[in-house]
Amino acid sequence: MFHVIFMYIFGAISVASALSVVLLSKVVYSIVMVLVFFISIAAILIGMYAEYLALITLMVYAGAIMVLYLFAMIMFRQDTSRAMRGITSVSIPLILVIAIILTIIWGTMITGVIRVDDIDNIAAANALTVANFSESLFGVLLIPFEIVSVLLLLAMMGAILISNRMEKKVPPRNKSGTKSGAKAGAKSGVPIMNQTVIDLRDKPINTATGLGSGNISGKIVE
Amino acid sequence: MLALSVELYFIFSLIIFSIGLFGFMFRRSLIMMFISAEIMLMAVNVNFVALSLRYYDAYWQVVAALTIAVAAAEAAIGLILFIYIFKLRGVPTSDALNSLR
Repeated sequence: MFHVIFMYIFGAISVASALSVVLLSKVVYSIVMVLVFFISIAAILIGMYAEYLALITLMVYAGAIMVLYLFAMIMFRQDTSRAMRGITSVSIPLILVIAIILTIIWGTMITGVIRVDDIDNIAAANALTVANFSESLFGVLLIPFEIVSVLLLLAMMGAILISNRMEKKVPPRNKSGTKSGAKAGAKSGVPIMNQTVIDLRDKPINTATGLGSGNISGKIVE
Repeated sequence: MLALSVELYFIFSLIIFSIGLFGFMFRRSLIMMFISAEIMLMAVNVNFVALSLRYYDAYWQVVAALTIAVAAAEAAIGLILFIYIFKLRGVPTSDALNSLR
């Protein structure tokens, strides 16, 4: 009984916060709402006897990744006038096809084509402890675990390589990109992003921070 | 009525995944597309943990943990690509990447 109320409350919170992430126009609000989303997902994971995963979710997602996104977001002025993409001729059939597929899946679940049975709480609590987690992690899934460590190393090396290349030479700016930005700015009346940040590329980038944060913040705060 | 089944979690993660897919398709900003991808990955994690509830096996929780690690790597690479694209084009939207069109 307690599990059910817990699941419904936090499920409602997470669905509402995910919807607001997608629909809010300002990126800062979206990032705060995605924080709420991850915290409620962690609560749901606790209700699913996955306490260790809830801990990892709080630490990795809410603690690290969202702060990373906030740092990346701080450096840029966002054009909030057109946050959503316009409805094109391609998107309506795409939405229809996806809606039909999801309806079929949902219908097969609800109408009982797929077997529905309740969760045995005692068996789940006995089978899903952290000890069992570690036995699976270092037993059956040892090789994927090692591969993931190599993957994280490679991701770190790739990020460093790309940022080094960014310091050395940046290819010349494409005309079409600036033109579309200028068009968007002129239509909505907000100051164009290009004019505020265009000095980024021409000034020497601070090698200590790697991203030239001094230049960027000086240009954007005004 | 008041009983939890695995399918309830499946439907929940289906809803979350659909919301993330909608955001991935319809937001213009690249950073919002990445955040929507994170939402979709979280839905997949909930699905894996629901599988562990169905089979009473911690194997699927470990799979979800590995997915979280892959998501962390994706976030790092995605953000550095985001900054690179922004310096290249001056606009943080995916509409700026149209030179192959």
